Amino acid sequence: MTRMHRLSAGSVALLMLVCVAHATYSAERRMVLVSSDQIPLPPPSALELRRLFMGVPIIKDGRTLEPLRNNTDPVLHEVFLQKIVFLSARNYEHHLLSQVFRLGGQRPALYSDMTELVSALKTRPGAVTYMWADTAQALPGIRIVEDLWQGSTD
Amino acid sequence: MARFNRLAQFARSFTGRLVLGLSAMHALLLPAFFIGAVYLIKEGHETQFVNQTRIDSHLFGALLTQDFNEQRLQGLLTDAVMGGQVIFAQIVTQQGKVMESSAGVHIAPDRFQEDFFFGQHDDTIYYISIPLYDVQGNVRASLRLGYDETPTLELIRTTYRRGLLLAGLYIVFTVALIGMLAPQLTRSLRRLRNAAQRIAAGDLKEQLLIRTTITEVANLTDDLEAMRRELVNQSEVMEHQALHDALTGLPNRNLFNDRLGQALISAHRSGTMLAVCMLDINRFKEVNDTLGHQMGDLVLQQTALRMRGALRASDTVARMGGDEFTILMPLMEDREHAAMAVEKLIKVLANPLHINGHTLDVSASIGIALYPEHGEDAELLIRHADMAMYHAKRTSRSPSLYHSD
Repeated sequence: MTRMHRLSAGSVALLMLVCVAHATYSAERRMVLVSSDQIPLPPPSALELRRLFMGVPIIKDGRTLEPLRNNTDPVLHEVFLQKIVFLSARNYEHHLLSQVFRLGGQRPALYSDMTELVSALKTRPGAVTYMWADTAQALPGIRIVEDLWQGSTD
Repeated sequence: MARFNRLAQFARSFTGRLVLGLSAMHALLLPAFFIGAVYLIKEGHETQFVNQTRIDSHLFGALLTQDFNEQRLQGLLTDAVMGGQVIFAQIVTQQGKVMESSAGVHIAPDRFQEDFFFGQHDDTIYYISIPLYDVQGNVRASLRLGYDETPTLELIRTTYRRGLLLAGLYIVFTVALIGMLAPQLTRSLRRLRNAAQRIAAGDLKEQLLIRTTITEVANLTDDLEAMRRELVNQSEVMEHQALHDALTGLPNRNLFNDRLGQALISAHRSGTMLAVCMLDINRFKEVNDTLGHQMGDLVLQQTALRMRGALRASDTVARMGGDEFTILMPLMEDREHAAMAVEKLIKVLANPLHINGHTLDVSASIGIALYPEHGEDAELLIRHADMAMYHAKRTSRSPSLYHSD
């Protein structure tokens, strides 16, 4: 094999690797609901989940669920808003704020740091949040409760 | 080059600085305000669109859930598209069956790609997918809707255009306002400058009257007016000092000569007579030597006062130096008239002076020269009056009228 041929073969291999990497990245993503693996929670329905993140208390198996908002990835947050709460980010914030003013309590905690979010999931009983499935699978002590959405975000 | 010089001069002026300063300020602040405002409005429109799209699609999906009558679903899809905002509606069942209604848009079920941000994919359509559930809560189909982004994009473009128009109008209005107000602000300053130039040129007569509502200019005007008044006072004092004797306050030689010149012109015109008298205080040296110069000064002051009191307002008494005085008496009718006036003066001066407990008996020697009889010019008249006075002093007969012998 000449040097020219070796270079061409290397270029093709690199191109294929880039294509595979792109395909992996742009492949359908899966958003899941997660909790601590220490507390088994039955999966809530889509309606219950919407109510939970809209500030309505939900009790499953005698345990009050605590929603945690995951803001570590802006795309994930937008997918969550579109697929779960059906509101824009601004209106969702307005809704939560007015809920607090009218009924008291606190807005669901918002996390922009994954370490802090995982720590809160593990320490707070009944805490649930949403994240990409591949992220959840890579985190020890985290259990996928149910699939929320699957599709492309490109 | 001349134009450039004019521009440079304008830039150095108060008006120029004002215009340039405000323009620079607006050039910096306006784009920041404009971009900020437009960004907020754009965000608002986009958020509103996304929010409306998500709520609408959610409610539409909820409406269709549990009812999988194909004919009814197709009708609802058609109704949705007829509304105008939804331009694409499609239901894809789990079995792959497709129901669709659209306003000129067609997407194959496997090519459908959902949007999560306004303007994503640059196709002016916001695609959204909603799962449709059956009674048991299982996903039976997927509702796919395409919302038209064009009205919102047009709204944002209109906002940009109106924003630019408003910003342009604001700049034009501001520049016009500055151009209109700046000369008014500087007008009073220009008047003040003219007034200062007049004062510098020595014209102190005109009072400074600059009406302005600008406190700083008003204060400057008051200060300049105070300065003008002070200069007027000082010049009056200096003029008085230049023309009067400091000890007696009587006119000095310069003023006397001036008045004599004027009186001669007047007498020549009117054909009237005038008298010039020279007066010397007798034994004044003795007073000075025996009682001191201070007493001598007091004698001069008292004598000056007495002379002023004995003469008419139109007459001029001047101190020429030492104990010598000159008197100008215009509008004399004849020799006798002049002699009578001088006799009156001698009588007044013959009274003893009472100063600081001393009684001083001082008299005066007076020589008289008449115009036009004894001379027609000032110098000659004064010389002849002086000669007459010396004659009076020598003969101890006062007054002495000049005669050519």
